[in-house]
Amino acid sequence: MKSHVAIALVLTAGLALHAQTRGPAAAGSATLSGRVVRTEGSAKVPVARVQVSVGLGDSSGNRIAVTDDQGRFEFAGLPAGGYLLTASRLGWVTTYYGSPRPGRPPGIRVVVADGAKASVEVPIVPGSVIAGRIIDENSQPMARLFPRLLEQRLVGNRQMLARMRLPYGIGYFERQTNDLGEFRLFGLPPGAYHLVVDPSIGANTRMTTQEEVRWALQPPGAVGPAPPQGSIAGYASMYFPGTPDPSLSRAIVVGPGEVRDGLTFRIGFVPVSRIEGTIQSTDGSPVANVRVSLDARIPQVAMEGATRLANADANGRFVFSSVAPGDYKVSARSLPRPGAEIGTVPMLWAETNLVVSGQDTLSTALTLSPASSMTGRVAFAATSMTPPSDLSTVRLQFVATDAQAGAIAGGGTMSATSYNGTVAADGTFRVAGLPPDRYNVSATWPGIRNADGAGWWLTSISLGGKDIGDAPIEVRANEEVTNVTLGFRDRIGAIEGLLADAAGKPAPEYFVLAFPVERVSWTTTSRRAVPAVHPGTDGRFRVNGLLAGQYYLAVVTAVEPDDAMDPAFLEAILPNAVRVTVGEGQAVRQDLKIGR
Amino acid sequence: MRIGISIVIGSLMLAAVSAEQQAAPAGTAVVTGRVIDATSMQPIAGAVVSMGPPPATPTPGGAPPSQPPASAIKRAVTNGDGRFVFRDIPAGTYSIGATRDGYSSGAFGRKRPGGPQRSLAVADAARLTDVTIPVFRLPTITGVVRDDRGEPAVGVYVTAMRRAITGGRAELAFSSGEATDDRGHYRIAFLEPGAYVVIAQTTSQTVPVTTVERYRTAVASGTAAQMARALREGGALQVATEGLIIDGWQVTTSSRGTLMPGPNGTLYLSPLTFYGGAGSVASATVLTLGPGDDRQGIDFTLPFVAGVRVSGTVTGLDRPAANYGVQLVPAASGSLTFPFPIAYSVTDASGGFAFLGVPPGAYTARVSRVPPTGPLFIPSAPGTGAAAGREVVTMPPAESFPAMFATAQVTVGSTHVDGVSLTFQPGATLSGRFVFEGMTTPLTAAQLQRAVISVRSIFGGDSRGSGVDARPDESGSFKTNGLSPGRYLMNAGAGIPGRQWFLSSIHVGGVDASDQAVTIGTTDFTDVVVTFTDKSQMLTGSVRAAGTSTDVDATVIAFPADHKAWMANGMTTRRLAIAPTSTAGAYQLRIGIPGDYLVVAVPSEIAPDVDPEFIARFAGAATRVTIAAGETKSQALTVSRVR
Repeated sequence: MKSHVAIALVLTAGLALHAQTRGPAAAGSATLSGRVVRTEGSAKVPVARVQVSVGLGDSSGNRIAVTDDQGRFEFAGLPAGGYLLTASRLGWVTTYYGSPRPGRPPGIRVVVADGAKASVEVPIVPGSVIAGRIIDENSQPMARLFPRLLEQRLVGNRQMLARMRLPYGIGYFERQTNDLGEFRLFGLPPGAYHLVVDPSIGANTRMTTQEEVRWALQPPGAVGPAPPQGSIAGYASMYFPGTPDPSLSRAIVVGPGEVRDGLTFRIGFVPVSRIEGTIQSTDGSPVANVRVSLDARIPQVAMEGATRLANADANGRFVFSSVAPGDYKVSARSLPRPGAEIGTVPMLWAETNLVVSGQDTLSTALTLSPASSMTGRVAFAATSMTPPSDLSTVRLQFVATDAQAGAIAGGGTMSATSYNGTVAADGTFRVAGLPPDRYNVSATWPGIRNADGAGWWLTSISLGGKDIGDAPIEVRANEEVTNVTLGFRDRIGAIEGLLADAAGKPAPEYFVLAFPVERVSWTTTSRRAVPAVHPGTDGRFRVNGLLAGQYYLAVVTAVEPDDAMDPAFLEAILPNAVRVTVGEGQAVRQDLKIGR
Repeated sequence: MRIGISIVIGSLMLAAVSAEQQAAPAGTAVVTGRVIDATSMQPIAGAVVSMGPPPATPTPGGAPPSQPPASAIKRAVTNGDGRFVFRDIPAGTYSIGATRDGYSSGAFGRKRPGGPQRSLAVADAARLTDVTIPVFRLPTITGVVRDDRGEPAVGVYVTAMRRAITGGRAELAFSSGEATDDRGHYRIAFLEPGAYVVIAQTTSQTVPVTTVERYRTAVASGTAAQMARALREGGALQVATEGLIIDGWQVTTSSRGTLMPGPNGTLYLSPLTFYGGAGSVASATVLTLGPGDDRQGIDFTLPFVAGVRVSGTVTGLDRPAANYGVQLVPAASGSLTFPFPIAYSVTDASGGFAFLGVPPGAYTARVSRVPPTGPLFIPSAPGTGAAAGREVVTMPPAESFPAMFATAQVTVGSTHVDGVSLTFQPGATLSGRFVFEGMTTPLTAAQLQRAVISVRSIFGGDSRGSGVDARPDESGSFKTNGLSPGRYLMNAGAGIPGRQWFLSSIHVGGVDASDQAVTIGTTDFTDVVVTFTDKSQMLTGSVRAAGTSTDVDATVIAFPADHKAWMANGMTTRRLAIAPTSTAGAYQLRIGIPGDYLVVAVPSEIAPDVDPEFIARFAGAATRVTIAAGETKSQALTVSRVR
């Protein structure tokens, strides 16, 4: 949890607001200019060759200018509107104008009227640097390893190590170690970082032991008994400063512009195992055409690409080689025959947990059971738009909730636990082959939504006619889920208003955060999770995409993207929040005044 | 009863053993040795050593050799002293290799990076204790890049371009590159030894603002397919959605370099810069890197110069030539060619194009209309939750897409160059037939259609319109799509199983285009004859070591006796044959075209990079041999002492 201040609110009434969205590429008569500066002691020093970008944050695109030697930039001929401004230069931290945290959106909007001129001073900070060397057990450089940045973040409703959300300019320079094993990650915003690498070595590569060498070099006449062979060498995911245990990963903390170099990241082999398994049906006969996945069960980390896949052979056998010690989940799922229509063939599944501890070979057997299915319909309720006539254009995706949390946090494991559902033209759907789990639904369909929220939204999920709210759909073994209704509407709720300070002036430097009243929804996979917003320089704000229900509305000075659903953070700001009820598709007016 | 039980147990154990034997047949020999750095002779710890069946020798015209099963390969990682041990090895012949990142892969008997390896004979119960596997440290290039203000230039992509001989000319090919860090430092590692030119690379892309806006709107409304398809058909790059806008054109650069508008529509940028040669490849410094060389101080100071506009119109279609990709390529000068575009543009609705920020120099502007290849992924609308790039559009078949080309020479000084005209002309086509000499039973249509003729520009670089393949129909006739004007070499393969067919000739207007480059202009060639024969030419023999040496480890190379004409005509590889000797010194070369050859045996530590320099070195020491059609000739050789 980062620094934050919750502020008391006073409510005032006001007039309706209308968002103005026109492309900045269209000609206008407003001017937005300014200067990009860095702080040196108490002085402000201009920074040249900074790329400044302004845009309305919609599909109309951005305009770009480059600062001159005095750090100045100017955008003339802009249409009136509220502009988001970013300033970026390679090696520096991108500024989202108005955001209190370097490198982190959102910024505040600079509102310019027709014919008016606005001028802003834009601070920029040099990027921090994390640099060092990756070496092996013999202190030799490890070339071509790809150190990746992790950060402590909310995954679902738990804090975990997850892939850092990288601004584009930094991701560009996250690259492999050179021939000296050196890495240098630069342009980083200040913060606490973890590093992980995933070295690899060919399967079935044995370590060479000193005893073996001594034995092999004996003269032919004097050869004694052969010593045991070296174990099969492999690697686990290694965390800085050189541990396979994520709970021992050491955070590297950098301040603004700070250079932490000379770090030594040491990597050693671990004995790895070969998992040999068999898939059989309930009558004991082997089953072919089964996809098997292997997932590490590490509660502290949400790692992308950590799932390994294998296909069972005709005898139902599968193999995973070079598996590092640890706790694993092996899951199997039968694949549809090529050409068979999805949903027509009963899916089979199995799951087991394994502990791998460096033994050469580990055997396991899984017995498949039939997976469950789900049936229901999609329903479109229109206020102004015409529902699609052919509902088969709607695509449904059912994702296991934990996997979705990992995917939101930057992991890539969602595909292994996501199941697609096709919809018939009349709106009925069926998804087969769902292993027991808790599922969230997402849907895609043709057509777009605009910034006002017009367009189709999946607003309600009901089971047997009863709205389940934000809860996932529970699928149990050997039990069909029926009568699911997925309701779409062409309006989504919003809260909009004016944020003013105690003197009644616009207060664009704060964030407005809306979060659901129901505590079960305080997770990153909630359909009610919405990002915090900054008001424009005129104090107007709009929280969009709200499903009908009760929300708290709070004003804070700073909020990390993931804190928006962090239970600890939300509990802390709750006493100063106000309750707002949003009806189906309703835009609720709620002005906020900061009292103190 | 006791006996019965013991039999059961015995057979179970037997089953387990046989499964183990299948995985790795157990033997009695032990092979141990060390992996060393070939230059410093220091042991290499942590190298992965593989021991397995030797690589199969490919047979001319035959199927590629099959890989040995993974279970037949043993792997060990060397200990701190660089040592490895393989045990329980059955008698046989083996190849042993070693890899370690930062090194070119090593092999038993290898004397230079990428050089030939030797097999190792292992007898029953043998104990080989001194098997040395050399690995070769790869060269590196390091330096610092600063901008015109003396500040570190961050994120500049520095590329080592390998000098290669293509079509008898020295041409640059991309090899490896690295972006500068926050200090402006770069280090290009993992290069193979060779001759390199180093560049600080910047390419610019100039697109009409109207196109950007239409594209952005199309993506947002989920209707991008039509426009993405039009851009692909026109060979245009993906449109950047954000960039600097000058006079209705949006300009962006690769490697996110800085751009700044100058006065009167000029644009400041850091142009492509050659180490030692500023903006010109002709005066670039060529770095020759051997194994383990660390070339430091390859520093750049990038100019930040105002370039001008080069603009014009693409015409020659029955409609405005909208959404075509136009390229600006430096004109060839001197002995080295840089065949890559430095700037890209996309034509607007009326066929107009512009390049902004073009530095002074001589250029070729070019545009082509060739059949688009590969699937096209359409960006999907944001907000619908669909994953980006899911939608795939089928592109029109190549036959319905006659190729057209246009080029114009442009000389750029300090003022804008407008009004450049690029008028599409249909590409010249080649048509003719396939002939099989010595054929006893006619080939079936299915057999015939496995044959292919491939036509390739003798200059590399951008591949659009510089090459085309065609297959014969059931009667043996073929017709290619159009080719851009230029010099071409041709090759053909029969690919017919069951019988070996060797290419004899490809006659194009009285010239064997498989032997020398043919100039193709705007006129079609209609009587091309591709001839295959069932006869091949071989040169065999044995190689003797020079002087008192007993080492016959050599590479045998045959090249045309009239090498000057051969080099001038594009250095076709059909008149070049290279093969290593066996351990006993025997060699076997397949000669593609009958004629007079020079043949030479060079020590295997010398890389057979056959370019004019190499020929000048060895032509004097070579033996002249005349090979007639279908002839197998024997020629004894001695390893050349020329170094």
